[in-house]
Amino acid sequence: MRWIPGPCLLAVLVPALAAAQDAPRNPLGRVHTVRAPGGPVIAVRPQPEVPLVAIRLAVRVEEPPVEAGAARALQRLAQPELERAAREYGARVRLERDATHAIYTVVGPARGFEAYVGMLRAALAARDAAPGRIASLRALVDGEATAQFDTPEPLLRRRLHRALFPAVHGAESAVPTAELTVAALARFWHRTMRPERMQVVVAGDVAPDDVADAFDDWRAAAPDPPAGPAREEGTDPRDPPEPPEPQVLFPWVAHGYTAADDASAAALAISARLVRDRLDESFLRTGRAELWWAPGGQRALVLIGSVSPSETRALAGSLTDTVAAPAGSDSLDAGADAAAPLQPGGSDTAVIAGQLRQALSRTASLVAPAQVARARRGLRRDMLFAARTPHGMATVLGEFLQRTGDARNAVRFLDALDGVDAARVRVVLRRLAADRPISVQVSQ
Amino acid sequence: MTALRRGPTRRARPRAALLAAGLALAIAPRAGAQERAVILPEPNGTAVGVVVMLEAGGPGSDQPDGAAYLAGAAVAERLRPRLDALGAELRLTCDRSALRYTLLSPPATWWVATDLLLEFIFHQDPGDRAIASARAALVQRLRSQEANPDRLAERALEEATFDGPRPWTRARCGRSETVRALAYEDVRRTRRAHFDPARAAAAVAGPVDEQRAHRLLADALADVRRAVHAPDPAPGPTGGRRTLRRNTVTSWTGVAFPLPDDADRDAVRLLAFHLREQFAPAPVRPAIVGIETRIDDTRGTALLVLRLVTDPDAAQRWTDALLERVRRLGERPLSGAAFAALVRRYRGDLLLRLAGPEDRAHEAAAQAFHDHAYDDPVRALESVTAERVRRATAALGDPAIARLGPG
Repeated sequence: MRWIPGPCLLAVLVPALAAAQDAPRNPLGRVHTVRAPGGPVIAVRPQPEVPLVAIRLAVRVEEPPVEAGAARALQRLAQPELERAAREYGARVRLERDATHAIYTVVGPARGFEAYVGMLRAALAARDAAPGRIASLRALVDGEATAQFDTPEPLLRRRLHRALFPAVHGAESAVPTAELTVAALARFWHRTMRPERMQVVVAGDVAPDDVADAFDDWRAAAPDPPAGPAREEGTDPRDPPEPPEPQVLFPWVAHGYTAADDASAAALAISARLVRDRLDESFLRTGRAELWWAPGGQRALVLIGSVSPSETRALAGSLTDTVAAPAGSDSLDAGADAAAPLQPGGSDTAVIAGQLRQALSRTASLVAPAQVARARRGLRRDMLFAARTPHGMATVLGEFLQRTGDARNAVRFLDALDGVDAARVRVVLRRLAADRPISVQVSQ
Repeated sequence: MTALRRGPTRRARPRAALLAAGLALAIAPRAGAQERAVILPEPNGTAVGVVVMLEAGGPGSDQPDGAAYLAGAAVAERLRPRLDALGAELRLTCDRSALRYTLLSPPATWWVATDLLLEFIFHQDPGDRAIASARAALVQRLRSQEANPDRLAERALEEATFDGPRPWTRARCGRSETVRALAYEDVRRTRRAHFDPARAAAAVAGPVDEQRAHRLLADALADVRRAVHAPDPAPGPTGGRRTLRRNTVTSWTGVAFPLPDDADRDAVRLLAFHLREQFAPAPVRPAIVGIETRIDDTRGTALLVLRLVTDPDAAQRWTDALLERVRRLGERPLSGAAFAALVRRYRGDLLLRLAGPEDRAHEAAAQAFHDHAYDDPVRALESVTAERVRRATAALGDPAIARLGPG
């Protein structure tokens, strides 16, 4: 990090004094939680700055191969009516599917809050597809999955996610097969669309008591018997159908390092930011470092890289660089792969893998307090800026709710950043650098 | 130097109300008073948005095209490392009416970041290195914009509106060749002459102490009770026509309706939304690719601007349909139920556009800049009626029309 003299030292000190006058201790503020027995988990963050409200409802999804694509199909089934109803209030709808959840979001004027809750309830109840409609739903979902994985990076991420978190088999955007019938869709619906599997975040100009009232009758009822023969979960040993391989112009490689249970999320997030900065300085065409979380708290540091063949050829002559520990610092663990020299003339994927390992080990070998402070500032800023609108706040809290079971962990995470120093980051990075990662690639 | 011609103002304010507003300002500044600094305190926010709008050179000024934009960009370039250290982000935009700085900061550092921004805009020379770096980036950005037919269509509409290429239709934000040719001294001279606190308005929205925030802006902008100082306004718009032949796949048609001095802005905004809905791309309108609407304030002249992108063969038909729709809306108000539904949908659209603190700060700064007053637009909407929309539509002037397309 560049040394920025003079006014910036003042700029660091003055805000600490000014904070007492202007800023709350933690700007994410107070998050209320509501849970009725048998009902969804609900987190509420009042945000009365503008009379808007955002409701983000996430449903935990598991799709065995015979029901691959069912979550998206149900979303597409509900979408037209949900959008039409929302439009009458000037509200907007967003339907998403990530690796583990189907997510329904409505954002609109706060005075329509109760109506939005009703719309979501109706959308989640939609399950009856006429036999003629199911074929078009399958085609729609198939097209979306194909489009989503039409470029290498999403496919790379999907493969790494499955390799890192095999117990989480939500099978993001799996390609549907002819087995996704009306009966299979109904079976999926009965098993999945239950309030106890739902996590709701409400952010905006709304009071927690009003939210509790609106969701008061969202309790689980005795399920109707599903149509058709029952299938037990986990009995289908097949892997879910894979999307077709995209055209690959540049190879991609991803490394996933599973984090130890005692490595704090804040320390891991700062570590990822430092490695990302290092990758930005490398010759990789694309270099990313991220913290991945899965429901249940599993975490991993993920490094992703891509390079064009012409770039590797041009730099082949310089690929004998080795990692050297600076004088005065602790030396690296001898078992780390990163100390091995990169060989000129290696395959492109080997070059990328080498660069990723080198970025991690170099970052681990030199962790300066100023870098950690900068990473901390960046994470804090990104989170506060993301949460500045009701939709953004619902997303930030919703992602923590999905991953950790408690939306208030977002507030705790922000507080925890201040407690992470360079020594702690160094420990985390060195442990990761000494591990052998799970590695996946997408190449020609 | 004359004050900016008020042009279309929000609404007439009774003298007693003005007096009361002045007294209120003396005690505790708040949104609603007539001044160039607006504070919107929002205790539950997670970020602070600050917008500074600056009138940096009018149609008759001697500054080269793009000099103000480059000077502004050089200020931003010089500031970015300091703002990055504070966790703040800065954007600069330029249009015909003003330069606009948008600063987004975490609550803990907003005051220092804003103080730095105001100091650098009005009092600090950015330096040769920042000017050179900003110039290279700006030339590249302008070049990519110039290649876009959308930009050509916009320029054609300006010329149609103001009767040809004149000083007031100059590319105030510059073209790539004019910016590339600017010397360091051009930039410095422009900054010294035009980056004047009396030509600026500003607004803050977020978790801030209202009095402290007002003091910061008032100290920087000098007498905030005086309206923005600006050069002479452009002459009135003419209902001109322009056609540009370009080998494009679609046609761009721009229609600019002059607004009267006392235009009912809230009603015009609702009208614009209604037209956006009526002419939005849809399966029943396959020839329409897109529509945009906006109210353009340029040096005391306000315009309702509508821009349609269509299949070339259907351009004239849809332009005629648009003009006919406007004519009818000026004759007969929308029915009760349809109007109520329209207002409900528009309210949602408006609120979503004001979702972030920087959006609310922008709205407030723009009102303070053009109207020297701020009214909450969502609250103002509550009193808009179908008859007000009809009257506002009937009061629109003869439109200028420009088209860009093949053949």
